[in-house]
Amino acid sequence: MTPVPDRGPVHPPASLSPGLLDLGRRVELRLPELLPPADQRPEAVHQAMRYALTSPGKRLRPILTLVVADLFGVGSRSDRSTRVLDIACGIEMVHACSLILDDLPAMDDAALRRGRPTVHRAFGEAVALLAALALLNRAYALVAEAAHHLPAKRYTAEDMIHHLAAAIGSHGLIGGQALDLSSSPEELDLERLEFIHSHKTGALFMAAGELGAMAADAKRNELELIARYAKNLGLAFQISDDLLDVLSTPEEAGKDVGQDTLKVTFVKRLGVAGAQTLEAELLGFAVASLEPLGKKAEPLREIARFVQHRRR
Amino acid sequence: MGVAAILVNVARSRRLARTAAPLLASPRTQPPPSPGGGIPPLGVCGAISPPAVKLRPMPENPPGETDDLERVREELRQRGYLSHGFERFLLQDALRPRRPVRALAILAGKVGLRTGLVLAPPLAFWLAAANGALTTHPFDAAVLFLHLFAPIALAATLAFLLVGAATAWLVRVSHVRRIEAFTFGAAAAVGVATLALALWRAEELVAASGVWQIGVLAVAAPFVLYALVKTVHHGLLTLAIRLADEPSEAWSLSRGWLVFSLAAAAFVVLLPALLAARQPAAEAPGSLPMAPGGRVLAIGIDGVLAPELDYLLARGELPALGALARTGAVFSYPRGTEPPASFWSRIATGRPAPEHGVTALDGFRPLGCKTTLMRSGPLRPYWKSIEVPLGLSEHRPLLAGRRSAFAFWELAARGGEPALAVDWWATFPAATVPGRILAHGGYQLLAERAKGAVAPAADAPALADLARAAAAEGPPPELAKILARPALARLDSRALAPDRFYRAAFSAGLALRPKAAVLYLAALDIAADGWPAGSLAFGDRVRAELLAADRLIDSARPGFDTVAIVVDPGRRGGSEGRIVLWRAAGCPGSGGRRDLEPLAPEALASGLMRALGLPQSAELPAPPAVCTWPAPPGRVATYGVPSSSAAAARESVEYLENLRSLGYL
Repeated sequence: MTPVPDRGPVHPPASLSPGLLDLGRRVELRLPELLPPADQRPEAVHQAMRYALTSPGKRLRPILTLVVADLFGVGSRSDRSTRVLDIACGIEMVHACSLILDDLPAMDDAALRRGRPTVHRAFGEAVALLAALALLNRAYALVAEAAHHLPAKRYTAEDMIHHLAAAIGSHGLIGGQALDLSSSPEELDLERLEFIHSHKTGALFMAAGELGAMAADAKRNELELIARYAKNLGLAFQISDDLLDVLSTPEEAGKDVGQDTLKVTFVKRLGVAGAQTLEAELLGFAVASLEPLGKKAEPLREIARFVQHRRR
Repeated sequence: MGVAAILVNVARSRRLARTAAPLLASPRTQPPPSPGGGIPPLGVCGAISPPAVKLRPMPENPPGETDDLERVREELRQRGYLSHGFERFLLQDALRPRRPVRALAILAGKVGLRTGLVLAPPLAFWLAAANGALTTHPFDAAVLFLHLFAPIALAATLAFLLVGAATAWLVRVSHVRRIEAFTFGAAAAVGVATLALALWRAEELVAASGVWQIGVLAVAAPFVLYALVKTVHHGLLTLAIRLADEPSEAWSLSRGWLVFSLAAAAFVVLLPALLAARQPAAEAPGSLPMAPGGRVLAIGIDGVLAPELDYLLARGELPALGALARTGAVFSYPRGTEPPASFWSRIATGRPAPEHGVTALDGFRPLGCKTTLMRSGPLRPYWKSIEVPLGLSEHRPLLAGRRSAFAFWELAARGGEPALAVDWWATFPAATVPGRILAHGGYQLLAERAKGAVAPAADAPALADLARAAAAEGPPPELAKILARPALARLDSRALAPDRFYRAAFSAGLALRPKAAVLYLAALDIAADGWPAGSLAFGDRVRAELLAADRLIDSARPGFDTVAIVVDPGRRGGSEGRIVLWRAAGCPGSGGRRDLEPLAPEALASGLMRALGLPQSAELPAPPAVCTWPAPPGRVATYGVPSSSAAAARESVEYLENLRSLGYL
């Protein structure tokens, strides 16, 4: 028998498929259009916004929004798709805002982000703060406007804004960050750790998925499936982040690593192998959650696989 | 390339390398991407695929890591993560980093468990229904489930290991891209093959099932098939996702479908119990009204093809039987693959196979079950070769107590008049009734001095003498010319001598002036099983045995008002049998026609009971109209159900051995 060469995986596990990459490119192209011109006053804030937002990232959250919306029937060429794209960009703006704040000296005091100096290192703390707030407000405005124009029967624009606000507020991303800052390693038990991760990271993943589903007018049970998927994906993503902090160099990760040395993470609690196992189990459940959605959900499965194999 | 080599390759080239690397606690290099994989160009989104990544030293895992991981899992489950739903617990393994062989083993185990849960309940239900346990002991279905679950799960695990290995091999070697369609196709093929196998091997169970049971199973079958296909599909898909690392297309199953399936399963489980509760059995009268009636003689001859009988009758070689046929009526009946015990019990009781309770020559009683499974369908090898040696089931022969309807001679003896039954099926252990009962297989049982061979037991010595005399008579001399001595001795002891004895015992029993006398002659049927000479010699034997029976009929007939001779092809495979019915009162309806009227064996039994002066039971058909029958003394809903009689274990084993030696098992 002639030996057949091992052709390996169809898609290298550390990259997204061309289709998903294309969605990321759409976001990349749309983001600058949604920001004020860099030379418009206040120039420093606008430049900082642009700097933070257009730095090379994975755009995983907006891609998630777009994929979910597409899954429930929003095409790529309709007016509706433009609105969904704006919502996705709003999600990315919130994420960029959270990164600026997270890197501040009062918080993680990071020097590198996405392979470049952090915003406060490049523009100063004051400008970084203002840029973050500006991005956040722009995101709300974008989502509100897009949601207002979307012909969704099951969800109002108010529903979508509430979802986003809940994901960001003190019961969401801000709450997780606050607890992260205030918890000493000694008092960080599993329950707190999960709270921090699910709020700091998971909440925005869930919002990204849910807003995509709401924008596409998905049924309630479908929305629930997406939420379950995103919840597991978000925690797995955070664990993979913790793993990268241990396993990667700054060049590879595009950001400071070893930042979590003093923090309690799942990697600290379980060891590398244990954390990898848990990450895979979470992703496995995320994949299994999609089963009722059928083959259309394949891009979401691909995102899960990407999270498992990502190196950045 | 072998499957093991493929799995090793997979282990080498996949994330397992990544999983294992940190455990080495030393800087190392990640394996480069597979050469043929092709990394797409980096987009602005930053899909990062560095060719080699140096890992920093790992922190040591804390002690008791496994415990911590389990605790974390539990904590996360309580918070809505990692919820291992039954429906999707196979797919959750798709991204779990395990060694491929271990992953395949665990996955196969899970598929096996799920398959056991899918297949064991309907099979237990079916077995219970086909053996009449649902109405008498409904909880036997649950016990059967416990007996069946483990073997089905184990068999499914092994089968999935094979199918999974084949799938893994195909996915890797053939580079199957549409793994969703491929795995679904494989799972559908498994499902269809299982269904076909079930229908083919469970013919016995289907034949024995009532209409409503078949209806319930027909309703349940699609759901069972669906659940089976889905289980196998998920298992294969999980395996394929692990091995192919390729986009997959999961087959959808909505929550609504799951609920519907569960509701249908509950319906299937509960329906029999409801039906059993709503249909109480008709109550038997305390005593039967009896008319004086006449005397009835019935002889069953097994192993004769209808054309053989027709030929000999036409040639006038069977004068007594010919005379009965000329003045009575000759009927035909279709003959399928029904076991002999079941068929001859229809003649005796007038009830069809599921209702008279005698459906097989032996059965198995699983530990905890109150019902002996006389119908095992495709599971017979399992009970016989696994459960019985392990002591989880008892192997039981067909016992008289298994019969759930009275034979006509038993009803005839209720008024105190004697009855005579010789060698008829489902008469061991011999029931004590007025007259004499020589149990089925009595020749061998008497030789072994088994209890229950004769009732009353006081008759056993005289009958044993007759048996010895029959044995001493030796085989017919014409056979000695064509058969070797050992073959001849075996043929004589198995088939010919017993019939000589039964004929003699029957003749002797007629001295009791029985009201009902029945005799079963099986020499030809037994001789046909492994006949050591040619077909011509067998034809001669048919003629000789029928002539012997004819002489017996001639000598026995005087004094009987009704005579029925049933000639059945038995295991020789004929498609029809013959019934010669003679009534002293005449069968004017036959009008001397030569064409054969079809007659159900149950109708013949009904006629014999009517001739005995018994009331007409609503459970029995009307007697054949071509003959004249006395008016029944009354009508009853049922004749009732005999109380089960248990034979001692030793006698059961002896009877079982007899059946085996006669080639029935």
